[in-house]
Amino acid sequence: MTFNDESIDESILGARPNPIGPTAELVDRQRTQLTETIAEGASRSSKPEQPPEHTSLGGQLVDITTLDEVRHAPRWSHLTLAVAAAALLFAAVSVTNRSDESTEIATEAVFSDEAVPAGDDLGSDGETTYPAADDIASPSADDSVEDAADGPAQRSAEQLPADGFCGTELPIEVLLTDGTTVLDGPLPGYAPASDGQLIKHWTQNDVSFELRWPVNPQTVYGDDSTPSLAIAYLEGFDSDGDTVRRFYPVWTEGAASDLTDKGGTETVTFVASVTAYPDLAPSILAIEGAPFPSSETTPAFEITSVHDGTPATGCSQIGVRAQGSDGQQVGFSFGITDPKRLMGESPLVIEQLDAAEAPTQVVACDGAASDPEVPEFLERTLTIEEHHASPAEALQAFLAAVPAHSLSESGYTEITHPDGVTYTLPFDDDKYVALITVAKSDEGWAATLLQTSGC
Amino acid sequence: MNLDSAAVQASLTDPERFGLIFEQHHRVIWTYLARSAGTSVADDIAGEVFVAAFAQRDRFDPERGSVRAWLYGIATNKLRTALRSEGRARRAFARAAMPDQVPDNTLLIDDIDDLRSRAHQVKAALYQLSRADRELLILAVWEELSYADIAEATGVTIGTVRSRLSRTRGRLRELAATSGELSMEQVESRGDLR
Repeated sequence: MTFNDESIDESILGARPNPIGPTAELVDRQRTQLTETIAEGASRSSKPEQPPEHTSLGGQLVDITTLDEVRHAPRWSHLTLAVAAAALLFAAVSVTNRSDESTEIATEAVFSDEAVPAGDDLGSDGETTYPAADDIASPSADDSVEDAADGPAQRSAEQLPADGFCGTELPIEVLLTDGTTVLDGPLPGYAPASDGQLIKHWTQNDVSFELRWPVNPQTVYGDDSTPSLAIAYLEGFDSDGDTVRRFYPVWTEGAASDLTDKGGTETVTFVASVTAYPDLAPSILAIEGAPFPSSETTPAFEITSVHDGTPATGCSQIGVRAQGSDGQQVGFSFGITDPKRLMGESPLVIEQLDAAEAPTQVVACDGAASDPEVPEFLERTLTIEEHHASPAEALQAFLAAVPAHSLSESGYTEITHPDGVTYTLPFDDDKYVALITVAKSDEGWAATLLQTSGC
Repeated sequence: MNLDSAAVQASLTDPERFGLIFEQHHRVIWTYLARSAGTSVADDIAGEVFVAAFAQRDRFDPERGSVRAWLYGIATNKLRTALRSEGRARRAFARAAMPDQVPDNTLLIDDIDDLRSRAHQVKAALYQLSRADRELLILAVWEELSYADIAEATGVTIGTVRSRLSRTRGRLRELAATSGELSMEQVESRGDLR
C-alpha cells in the first residue's frame, strides 16, 4: 500500500481518536476553578487607562457556500466539485412563493418520538457566573446589518431585494421531529425580521433553530468569531437512501470558509463543474459539539426538498442559527441556487492566456492511486459534426451537443496556440481539470479533443 | 478583531469576560489533549490551560494569531511539561491513539475498509515519530489548524512549519509503508526506533 501526501493525511485523519468529550462534572469543576481564579484576578485587577478596543459583533458565524463568491473568482480546484455538490444539495431548485400561510414546515419522526418544547422555551442554565456567549454574540435589531457591514468579511454577496421580500414561505422543506412546533419570528434575543424577511424557529432535542430568508451573508452574520457549535457535515443520499457523499466545512480562524469532502484546508474559489452530483438530495445538516451531550455528530435537521422555481435575485441565501440550551450557538448561511442559473451567470470564457502561461497538464484523479479501475486521465477524440465561425462558438456547440457531460458550461480559459485554440477549466496554476482542443480547418472551427481527469 | 480576541482584551479590565473563552474552547482543547495523550491526561490538564491563559492574557497578541492557536500553544506546553520524557509521551499517545474503529465521519463511507487498513499502518507510524513531529502533524491534520496557527501554537515560523510538515509526511509515508501489519503493541515493543 502506498501513500501520497493526500492519502497520508486522509489516513492520519482516519486514525484520529474521537474521545467522547469531557464529562459535565469535569467541565463544571474546571469552570469553577477558572471562575475562582477570575474572581481573584478581578479583585486584584487594576484597570488600564484606555479601555480595550470595542467590537460590536453580531452572533454569527459561518457562510458555507457563498455561491456568489464562488461564481466570480478566477480559479478552480478539485474541491470545487464538493462545493458544487454542496450547492446542489440545496439546489434541486429554488424559490416559489406559495399562498399557504401555514407556519408548520413539516413534521415527521426522524430523530426521536419525543415531543419537544416550543422554541420560546429556550433559556440559559443560569449557572455560569460570567457572561454567556450570547451576551456578546446576540445581535440586536440595531446592529445586525449596518454594524456588521464594517466587519472583516467583505464578500461579493448578492444584494437583497429592495423590500427584502422573497416569499411567504421558506423555499425549503425541513423534516422535524414529530410534534415539533414551528413558530414565526426570531429566536428570543435575536434581531427581528428586516423588511420582508421571513423568520421561523423551533426547538428540538434541546437545540433551537432559526431560519431567516433571505439573508445577506456579507452582513447578516457578520463576524468571523469561533462558533461554539460546529457544522459537522452535510450529507447527501442517492435515490436508494444510501449515503453517497459527505461534505465537511473547513474552519479558518473559526469560520467555515468552504466545504470539502476531505476535510482539507484548501480554499475553494470557483465552481468548475456544477453537474457533478445532481441527485444529492435530500441532505442533512449535522452539528457537533456543545450543547450536545457528546462529541458525536448529531443530526440537526433534514432538508428534504427545495421548492421548484428559479430563485429571484437576492433570494438565494438562507440563514441558519442553532442555539443550545446553554446559549452556545452557531450560525451560517447556505445558498439555494439552480445550477443552470449558476452556470448561466458566468461568461463562457472568462480569461485568455498565452500558451506559455497556460497549464500544461490535466490533474490526475486521486482515486486512481487506490483503485485500479479508476484511470488517472481520460482522453477522447471528438467526432466533428459541424464547423463554426469562431473557436468560442465551436466550444459552445460542443458543450451543447453533449447533454450529460459534467463540464461547466461557462468559465473557461482560452489559450491560443500557433495551431489552434484550447479551452481549459483550470485546477490551479499548473494543471487543469479539463481541456478541450478546438482546431481550425478549411471549413471552420470545431472541437477535436477532450482531455480530463479520470475522476 | 473577532469575538474571542475582543473577549480576551475586554477581560483585562473586566476579568469575568474571560469566561467566554472557557465556554468557547474548553471542549476543543480537552479533545486535543485527549487525542494526544488520553482522556486522563486531558482531564488533568485542560483546566490548567485556561487558568494559565487567564494569568497570561495580557500577553495575547491578536496580531500574531487567533485565541484558539494561542490556547493550543499553551496546551501543547502543558502536555510537554506533564509528559516530560519522550517515552512517557509516546506511551500516552499510543494509549490515546487507538480508536476502536475509524470514525465514520472522517471520509467517504465506501472507502472505510481501506481506510481502516491505512489507519492501522499510519497509527503505528505516527507512534514512531518524534514528539515534536507528531505534535505538528496532529495540529495540522487532526486539529486542522492552519499553518499560521500551528506556527503561533508551536512558536516557530510558518516556513518552518511547512518544511517540517513536508519532511514529517515523507517520514510517515516511509514508516507506514514499512510498518505493514505490525500492531501498535509490536511497535511499542521495538522501543525507540528513531
